[in-house]
Amino acid sequence: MTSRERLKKIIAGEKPDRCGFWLGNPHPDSWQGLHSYFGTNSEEELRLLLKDDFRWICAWNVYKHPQGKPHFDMQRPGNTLSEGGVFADTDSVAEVAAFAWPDPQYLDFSEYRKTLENAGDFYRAGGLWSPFFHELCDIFGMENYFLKMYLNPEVVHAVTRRMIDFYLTANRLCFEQCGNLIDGFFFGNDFGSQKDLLVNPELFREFIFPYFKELTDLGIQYHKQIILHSCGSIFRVMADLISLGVHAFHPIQAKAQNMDADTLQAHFGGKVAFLGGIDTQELLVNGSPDDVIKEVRRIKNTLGPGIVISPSHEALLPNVPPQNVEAMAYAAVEGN
Amino acid sequence: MQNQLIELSYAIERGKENQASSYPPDMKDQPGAYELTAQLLAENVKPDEILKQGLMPGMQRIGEKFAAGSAYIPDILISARAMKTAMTLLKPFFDTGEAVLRGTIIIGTVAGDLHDIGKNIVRMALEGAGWQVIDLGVDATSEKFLSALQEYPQSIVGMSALLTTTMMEMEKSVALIKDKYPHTPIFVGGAPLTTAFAQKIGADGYFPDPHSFTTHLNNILP
Ligand code: B1M
Repeated sequence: MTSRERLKKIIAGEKPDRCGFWLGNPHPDSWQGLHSYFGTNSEEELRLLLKDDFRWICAWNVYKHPQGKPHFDMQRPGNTLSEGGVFADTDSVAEVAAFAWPDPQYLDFSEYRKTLENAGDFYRAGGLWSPFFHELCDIFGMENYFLKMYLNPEVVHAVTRRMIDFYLTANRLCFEQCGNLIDGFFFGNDFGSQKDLLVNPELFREFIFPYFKELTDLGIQYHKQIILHSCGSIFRVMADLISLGVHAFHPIQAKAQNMDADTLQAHFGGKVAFLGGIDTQELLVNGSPDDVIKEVRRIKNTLGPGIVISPSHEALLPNVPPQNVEAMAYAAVEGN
Repeated sequence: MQNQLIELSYAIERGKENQASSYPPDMKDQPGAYELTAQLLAENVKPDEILKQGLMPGMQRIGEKFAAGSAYIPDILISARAMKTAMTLLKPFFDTGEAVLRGTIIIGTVAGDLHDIGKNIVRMALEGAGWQVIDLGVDATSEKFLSALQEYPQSIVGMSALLTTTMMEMEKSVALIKDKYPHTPIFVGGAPLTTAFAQKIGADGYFPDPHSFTTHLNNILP
C-alpha cells in the first residue's frame, strides 16, 4: 500500500496496512538540529527516512498581484493578533464594500500544479489555507473582532462574507485546475485556547459555522477529504464540525481540555479521523525516547485505526530533541 | 445608593457600557456603566466606593464565570470596555490622589513570545480588581521588566508565556529581577506552565487564570 492509499483509507475510516505518520512542519529554527542528527541534507530526505506519509502542499503563493500586494492587505501596525488592522474602527458596511478586496484574476495555480505533479506517491493535503478566523482577527484586531460580534454584527458578517467569497472562488479554481492531484482540503484556524473555545459557542454558531460550512461543502463537491486544523480545545464544537463535513481533525492538542485520546475516542471514535495527538507541550520536549514510544503506542491503541501519528503542533520547536522525533516516527510506523 | 451600586455592578458584568449601547439587547435604553457612575458621583458617592462596590464586583463576577467556563473572552472584553468607560469619570480623582488604586503591577509576555491575548485578559482582570497596570506588551525582555521596576519599584511583577521555548526565558528574567529586587513578588501564568515550574524557577506563584491570580492578590494584599 502506498502512503497515499494508506492515508486516504485512514481518513475515510477504513483499516490501513499500518498506522500513518506525519512529521509535521518543523519550525525553521529546528531543521539544522534535525539534519545534523539524522545525517540528512534536505527536508524530503528526512521525510523519506522517517517514512512520512503526508505532504502538506499548501497553495500559499498563488495570488500574483502585479504590485506584489497580498490578497488581503491588512495594514496592521504590529505583529500580534490584538493589533488592529484596516477595519479596527469600521462601523459601516459601506466602508467594508469600499475596501480593495482581492481580484481573482491574479490567481495563478500553474506553479502550484507543478509542485503537486512532482509530489510522489504521498498523501497530498492542499488547497488554500483559508484561515478566515485568523484573518478576521488580523483585519479587525482580535479584541475588536470579538467585541464587534456583540456590538456590530453586520460589519463582522460583511467582512467575513468578502473573505469567504474570495476563498470559495480561489479554492474552486484550485480544485478545478489541480483535480485529482489533491487528496485532502487542509485548511486552518485556531479556534481554541488551552481550556476552551476562544469565543462563546453561540457566537461560534453565528459567525463561524455558516462560512465554515461553505468551505467544507466546496471541498466535498470536489471529492476532497476535509481536514480541519485548529489548535487548542475545540471539544465543545467537534460534533457540530463533524456534522458540517469534517473528515479529520489536526493537530489534536493532547494537553488541552478534553482533547486527550481517551475522551476523543469515547465521543468521536469511528466518526472522524485524527491527525496529530503526540504532545509537544511536555512529552516531546521533556520526555525520554522510551516515554515517547510508549505514548505513541497508547495513542495508536486508543484511536487506531483512525489516527495518523503527528505532533500536537506541526511547528516542532527546536527544544524537541531529535531522539524524540526518531522515537515518535519509529513507534508510529512499527507493527500494523 | 446601595441599589445604584448593585445596578452598576450588573451593568459591568453584562457589559452595558452606556445608554446608547446596543449591547446587551435585553438592556436596550437602560442606563449603562457611564450614566450610573455619573449619577453616583453627582450624589457625592466617593470614587473609591464606586470602584470597590460598583465596578469591581461586576468584573469579579464575570471573571468567576470565565474561570468556571460559563463566560468567554468576548464577555470579559465587553465588561472591561464598560469598566474602562466608567473609569474615565473616576480617573481625575485617582490622578489628584483623592482616591487611590490598590497598587501597581507590571505585566508582560516574555521575550520571544508574541501571544498576548491571555496577558491582555489578565490586565483587564487586574484593572477590574483595582490595580494600576503597567503593560510591557509582548516580547518583554528582562531589561524591560527591570527598567519598569526602576520606575515603579514597589510593584508586583506578572509574566506570561505560551511557548515551551519562551517559558525558559522566564527563568532568566526571574533570576535577574530577584537578584536586584529580592522582595518583589513575581507571578507567572500561561498555557504550558505549572506550579512545579514556577517553584523551580523561583517565582512566587503560578496561576492558571486571571481570577485565581486576582483572588490571591486580594488575599495577600487585602
Ligand atoms: C502573571 O500571571 C498570569 C496569570 C495567568 C495567566 C498569565 C499570567 N498569562 C496567561 N494566563 C492565564 O490567563 C489567561 C486567561 O484565562 C490564559 O491565557 P492563555 O493565553 O492561555 O489564553 C488566552 C486567553 C487564549 N489563548 C490564546 O490566545 C492562545 C491560543 C493558541 C491557539 C495560539 C494562538 C492564538 C496563536 N499562536 Co500559538 N497558539 C497556541 C495556542 C493554543 C493553546 N493551547 O493555548 C500555542 C501556544 N502556539 C503554539 C505555537 C507552536 C506557535 N504559536 C505561534 C503563533 C500564534 C499566533 C500569532 C497565530 C496566535 C497568537 C495570537 C496572539 N496575539 O496572542 C507561533 C509562535 C509565535 C511567537 N513567537 O510567539 C508558533 C511557534 C507557531 C509557528 N508556526 O510559528 C503552540 C505551542 C506549543 C509549545 N510547544 O509550546 C500552542 C500551544 C498551540 C499547539 N497546538 O500546541 C491563562 O493561561
